[in-house]
Amino acid sequence: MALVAGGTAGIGLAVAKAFAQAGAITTIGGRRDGAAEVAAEAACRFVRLDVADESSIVAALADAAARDGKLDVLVLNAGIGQPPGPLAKLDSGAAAAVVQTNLLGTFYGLKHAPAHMNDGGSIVLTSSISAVSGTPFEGLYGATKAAVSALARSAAVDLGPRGIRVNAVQPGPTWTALNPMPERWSEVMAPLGRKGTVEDLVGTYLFLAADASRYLTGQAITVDGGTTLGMSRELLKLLTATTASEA
Amino acid sequence: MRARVAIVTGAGSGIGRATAEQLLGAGYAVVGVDVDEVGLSWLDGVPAAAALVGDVSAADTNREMVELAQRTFGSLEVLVLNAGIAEIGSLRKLTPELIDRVLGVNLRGVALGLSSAVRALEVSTASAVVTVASISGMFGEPAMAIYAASKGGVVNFTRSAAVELGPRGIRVNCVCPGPTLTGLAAPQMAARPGIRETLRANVPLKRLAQPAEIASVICFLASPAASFVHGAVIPVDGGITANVGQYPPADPPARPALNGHTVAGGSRA
Repeated sequence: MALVAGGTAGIGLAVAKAFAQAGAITTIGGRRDGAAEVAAEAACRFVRLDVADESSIVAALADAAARDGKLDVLVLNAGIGQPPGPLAKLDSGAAAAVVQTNLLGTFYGLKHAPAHMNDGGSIVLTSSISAVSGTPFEGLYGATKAAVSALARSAAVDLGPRGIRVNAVQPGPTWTALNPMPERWSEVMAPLGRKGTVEDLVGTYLFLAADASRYLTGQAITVDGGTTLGMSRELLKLLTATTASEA
Repeated sequence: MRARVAIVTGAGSGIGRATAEQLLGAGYAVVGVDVDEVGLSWLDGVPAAAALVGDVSAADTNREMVELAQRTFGSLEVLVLNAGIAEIGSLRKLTPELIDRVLGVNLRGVALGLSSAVRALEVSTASAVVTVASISGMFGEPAMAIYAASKGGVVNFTRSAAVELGPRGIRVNCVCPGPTLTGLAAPQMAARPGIRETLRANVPLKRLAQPAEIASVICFLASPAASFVHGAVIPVDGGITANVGQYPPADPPARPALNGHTVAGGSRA
């Protein structure tokens, strides 16, 4: 039994589809209009869920458990971006909303889900490379994702004795319909020299959910084509060319 | 379709052997390398396997293993640089010989292995290298400073290789095992009675790893499922490095045996 919170689009939807294809009874939790139809098309069950609302996650977990039994796998993927801009210009109301969904939403899941999980299960959190590297115009978003990676570590220590594993995935920039980015960006920034897609991430979620990773817990796995490793050859070339033309 | 071809160093025992077994099970052709001829003999008569007895700290061994893979199986797609040795020794008793021996196998062996294989790996469009370091390469370890230094070297060698080789289509990642029930760990366990219990208490999952549990992570990183994982350093340690270390994880609650979970892998033991 698997539950994907934030599974109606992008990474979460691709992961839920992959779980269902692998034979897991999979429930998608989401709050968008039309979410139930999206879940049905993905051969998944649906439960209405807004992770920013603690009572919503309590109810969703109880509903899913009452219908299908205890959870083996939980993916806490729901998250929102912040209005882009420097910290000095970030609206405090918008800031509170980002913290509420990304940090407290993950906390609510980690607080209430273990009671509905089998021992030996797996929890996967969606973090971001913004958790480990400074990101222009996304400072608060990065802070909430750093908190998500930290929660994976602490929850892993808490839940280890029950055999429940908790890990985070830290994707780099990932091309989705909602988040198209210039091709040139990843050619320059990612040593693998190409853009990351949701399909590039699904394998890591499946791996973290499955027994193949059964001794891996409390880790944040970066899946970014090498973006955070340091300067890529392309970037070096670009900078060298720029410096040469300036001289 | 022709099988993907893998080299596994240190394939005579422990994590290397478990990795070679899982790769063979997944349909790879495997060249196993080990300094221990007897340890490597499990590959005798295994179809799609070849064995090379040799010391990875020697340049010849590394050149020969690549040639053997290409000559026997026609290509090379996966390189698992796993061979390593561990020696206990306080800093007061350190000898030049011990330093050379540990750095020679653990760091020089990895560097020579990858460097010998680059030309063969870049022919394939989906080649992958996995180095095996240790959580001792990420944090300090008493009485094992040289081992820890060699593994720390492997960690950063991996990152640098990833940046350099990514544009050539070669993915490079690193696995950092925690305490694992292998021959490598046996001397430490024997030298310090009760250490196994202490180790177990410090692991949030409350047990040591079997070699197969490290091997499955190596095989994932080698596989197309990890197509965008590059330059990653992944601890497989039952949660040890998740803990800041001020407090040990709680004792397990009294419960019946662990239940299985089934998403992509069947039930757990």
